[in-house]
Amino acid sequence: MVVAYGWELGPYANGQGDRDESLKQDRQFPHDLTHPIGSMRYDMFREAAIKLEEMALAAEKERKWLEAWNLWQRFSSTFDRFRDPAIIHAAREGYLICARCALNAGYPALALRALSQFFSSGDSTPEAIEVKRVARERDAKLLQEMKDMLTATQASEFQVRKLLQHAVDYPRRERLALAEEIVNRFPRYAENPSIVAFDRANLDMAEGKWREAVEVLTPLVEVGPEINGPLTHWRNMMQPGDGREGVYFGGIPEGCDFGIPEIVNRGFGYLANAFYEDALQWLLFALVKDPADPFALFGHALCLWQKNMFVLAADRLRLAIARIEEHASKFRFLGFSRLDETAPARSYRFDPIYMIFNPGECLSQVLSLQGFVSHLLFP
Amino acid sequence: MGVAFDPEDLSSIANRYAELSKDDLLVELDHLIQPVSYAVAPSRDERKREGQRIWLRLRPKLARLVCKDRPKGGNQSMAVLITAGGGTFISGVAKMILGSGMLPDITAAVAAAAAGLLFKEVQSGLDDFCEAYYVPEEI
Repeated sequence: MVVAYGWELGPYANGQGDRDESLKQDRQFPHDLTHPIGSMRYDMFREAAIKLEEMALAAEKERKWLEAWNLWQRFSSTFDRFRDPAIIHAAREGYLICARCALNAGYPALALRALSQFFSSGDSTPEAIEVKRVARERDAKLLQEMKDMLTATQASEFQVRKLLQHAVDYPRRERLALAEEIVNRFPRYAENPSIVAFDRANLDMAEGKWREAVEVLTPLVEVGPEINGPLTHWRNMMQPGDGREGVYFGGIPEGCDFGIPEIVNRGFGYLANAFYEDALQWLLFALVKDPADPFALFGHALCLWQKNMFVLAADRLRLAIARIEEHASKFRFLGFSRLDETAPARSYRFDPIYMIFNPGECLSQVLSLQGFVSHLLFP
Repeated sequence: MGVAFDPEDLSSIANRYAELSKDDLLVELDHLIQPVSYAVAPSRDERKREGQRIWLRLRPKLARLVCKDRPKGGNQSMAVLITAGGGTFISGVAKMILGSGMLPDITAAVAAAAAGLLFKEVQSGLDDFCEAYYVPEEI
């Protein structure tokens, strides 16, 4: 089943719930977007998922657990745009295997994130509850190791990096503070200064300090070309730029003179259809035009959440909420329609049950470090 | 922030919902909330699917309500409500939902349907329910 979404956004007519049709005409979601998405066949995504599944199984066979975790995560994300119960079931299976692989790789925080996606998208199973109990036990053990490290007199590079990564993977305030203390206690835990700098930047990103992270890494690119990968990745999440990888529908046309609502609508359209890189590109473009546009901030926050940048996403959501409240009588989502092969277009109006109409609920989920689940966010 | 309701009405709805199956409650939730403008009359399966999607969105909110004291040895009032039976549980939890203001503007019937679905899930163990769906909020 192909599911496509049309998004509408614009000034709200009178603050009483009636929409102004003339405004709607002006601000309508671009027609040229829904069509190409609507015509993309499910087969294309199914084939990609099958390929990822084969690669994941091969990685598991070779006991390359972290690689398998990554592949299963991508496998499940491939189904983000679909709402058929059988497809959601397949994605959930992927999340559960993903959690097991993360546990085998020694990353309980990654397992907890995958499990949050499993539990929030359907009913629990005894097997999944057991996996979560194991993950929580191992998570608690690592947290204790972090605390013990503060009284230790020596620490290996492996130990320190493992604990820092644990804090980055599950960025709760307490463990990020512990990670900071560990770095301060063992400032030369690795012989290679590039490794220390990379870990520092990784920690900064997890704490929402992305400019600091970029400042740490930029001078190191020449001496350590491997730094370029994460640096480019982080820049792409926060700044617009040409030649982005993973974009399906091409770059932003040169001299694009769309108004902000049109750009944001386009970004949300891509986001709702799980074309995250396309969405990010347009939403960042909107933020260049107006860094305080509430819905561009909201959309950007959702993209960051999808990439598990929880603290950065939370910061953006807070800004978006403040701006939306500031302009509550002026801006509001006008509507949202779902188009698929089996159902007529369905209109959704503001409703606290649907997270996409409720940035506050999104913030609550982000603060709980809940993994991003497309079909919970978008109807 | 709370929502006004008639306790007698709530009690009567709660007793009725206590008799329904999980699927019936999902369909009822879809009827009550009507999130979708159907162009043609939907099938029961379609209503059930939409109800399930609403329930998935409500469940983490309810988990915050019923599991919040779990790390301190469990939510005793919840344990008492579970053993008191369906009608009492649904009525008690619905009052908590309405009183908490966690779902602004919902009706007593929606709160009761959500409480009914919660009852179905916690019957097999509040601990497992909390393990699966409760995540304390903090960064």
